[in-house]
Amino acid sequence: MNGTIKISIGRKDPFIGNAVHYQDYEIQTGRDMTVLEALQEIYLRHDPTLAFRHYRCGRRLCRSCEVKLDGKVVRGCATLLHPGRTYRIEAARPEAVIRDLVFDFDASNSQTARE
Amino acid sequence: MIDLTQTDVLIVGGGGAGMRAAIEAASLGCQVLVANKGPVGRSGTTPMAMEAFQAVGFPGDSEEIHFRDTVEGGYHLGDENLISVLARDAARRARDLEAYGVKFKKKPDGAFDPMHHPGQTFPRALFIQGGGYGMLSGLVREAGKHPGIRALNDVLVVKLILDRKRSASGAILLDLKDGRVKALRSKAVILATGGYEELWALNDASCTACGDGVFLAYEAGAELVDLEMLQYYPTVVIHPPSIQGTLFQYELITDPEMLGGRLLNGKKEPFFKGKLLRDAIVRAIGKEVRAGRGTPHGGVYIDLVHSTKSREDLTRALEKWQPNQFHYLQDMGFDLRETLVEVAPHAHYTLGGVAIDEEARTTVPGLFAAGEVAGNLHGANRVSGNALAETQVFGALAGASAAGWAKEKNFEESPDERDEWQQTKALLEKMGQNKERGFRPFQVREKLQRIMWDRCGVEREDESLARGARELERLEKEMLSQMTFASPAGDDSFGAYPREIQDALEVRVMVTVGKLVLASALFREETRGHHMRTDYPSPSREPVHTLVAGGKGPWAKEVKKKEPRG
Repeated sequence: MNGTIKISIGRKDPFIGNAVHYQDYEIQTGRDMTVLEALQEIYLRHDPTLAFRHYRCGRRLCRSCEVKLDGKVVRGCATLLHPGRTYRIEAARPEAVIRDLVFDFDASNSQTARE
Repeated sequence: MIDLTQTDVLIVGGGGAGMRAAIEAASLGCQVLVANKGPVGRSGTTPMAMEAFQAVGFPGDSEEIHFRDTVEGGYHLGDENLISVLARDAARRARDLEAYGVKFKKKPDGAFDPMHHPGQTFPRALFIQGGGYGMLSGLVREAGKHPGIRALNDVLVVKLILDRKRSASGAILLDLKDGRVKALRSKAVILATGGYEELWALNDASCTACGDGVFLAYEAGAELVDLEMLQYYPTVVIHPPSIQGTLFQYELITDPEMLGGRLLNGKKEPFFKGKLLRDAIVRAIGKEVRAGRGTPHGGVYIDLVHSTKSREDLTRALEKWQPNQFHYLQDMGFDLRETLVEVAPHAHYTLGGVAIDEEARTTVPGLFAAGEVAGNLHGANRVSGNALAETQVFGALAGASAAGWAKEKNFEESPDERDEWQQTKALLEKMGQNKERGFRPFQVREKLQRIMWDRCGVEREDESLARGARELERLEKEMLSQMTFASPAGDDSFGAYPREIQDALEVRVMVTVGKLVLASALFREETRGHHMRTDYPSPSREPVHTLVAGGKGPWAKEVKKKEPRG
């Protein structure tokens, strides 16, 4: 098994501008990792500037860790990434981004304001 | 320029206790601001809580028996004036929740259908659909109906402000949305920040449970009580890492009428009998692991594979009692009906915290506290279901007390406000300048968590606690002061969502609280409930509180009794 998970992350800093740029990361691992684990690994070992919500309710309920994985909104705590594969991760609500993958839950949006 | 917002009542923390306090204060006519580290309803420890809400709802049960069970379950270290308030109000607060649209499991005739958890004379664990998350969602919806309540999401409160009379009158915060330091001015402040489980390497609580409220109260001069008292939860997944920290309730697993399962040691043998309280199971697991009968990762197994129930009945029972954990673990590749899962004790609930009275007042005027941040309710162990009940009972009391206090007060500019605002900015700027060879906040945090787990973990003794205290002193001097962070700083801002600055501020809190915990743990020379001293294996004759405040202590203080002892 190829021991690398490759992830391209859509990043944006509103203090600099509204353009999203993609940054590529590689995680050396021999096992499946959740999206949340992988992001935490990048933050701890590769890039201290990456912003994402690292809270985990532990029961797959709160949706604070939602991101877009290859275009589909998923819960980061309960979605596994596999070594040998390449993924794209972006903010779940691009119009409400505070920075990188963190979006503002206060920003109203009928499309994603579902329970 | 200083960015200032005014409100009658400032609530720090938007979990179960904070939101209940907000509803109470707003319905008494106050303007309320809830400052929360994440998005309200999707952060903190309440969404992680299990389903149990302890309140009388079974024929033959009474408030008096709820009171007695709680006193005894806490090994007589809980203040009885607080426990009697908990028992008195819990059922009423459960009915409030129903009025907010929170759903409880009911019998066909409409009566509550409580579970029977260890430590309860009668079944008393009312079952909330959706657990803590379901409860909090109802509270957030209800709060939304009050125009006087405003939630301030994604902010980190760094310091409380005291006015000329030394009463709480606001706070300084870092707004993570725009990276700016701001001031809040209020007539009263309620702390509802949860606990400090994040100090320990193994915990099942929110990553934000760093002891913010305990730290803020301590800096403001409030008395803190029994900080050494940490409740461990015996059965939290320890391996694999993708699901480490997920709690599975032994109370349900081992109940033959619910899931019909067992706990097994590493040799796949049962190792205890009967319905035991949490501290007793933790001790039983420790004994197995020490005797070399642990699992590969130093725990025991949850076994539902050999449940006394048929597969169909077990599936139905899992869907009924633990649907969220069951499906979550299934998604992660673990079917509890087919595999054993390794579990071990994790830091679960901080019993100690800020000292309060029966009206949720701290020892600082104008400062109130409710929920896990408070420290003298449960004692040396907490009975299942009393945490969610605590958030509602003391949340409502804190809201009412703060509203009463605020009515008697006018807004006042504190001489400290501008100073503290400037000092907070200076603190962050200084930390940001340690660029060369500095430590990243997570490195300091991981080191601290390891020290606390190794020196002040499930089992404690004098020498190791003292060593832990020295190690924390050294960590403070050599690492905390050399901390650096990545900051995309602007002119008057530390950048949008500066995660590493949040980490730095949190670890600063954790070091202070950790030192107080170690000092308190050294001071309590006895074994009582979850505080297990191998050098003092028995309880002392009379239970007493451990107090610290204002750089003094620890010292001993009497536990409040309901009636004078005869």
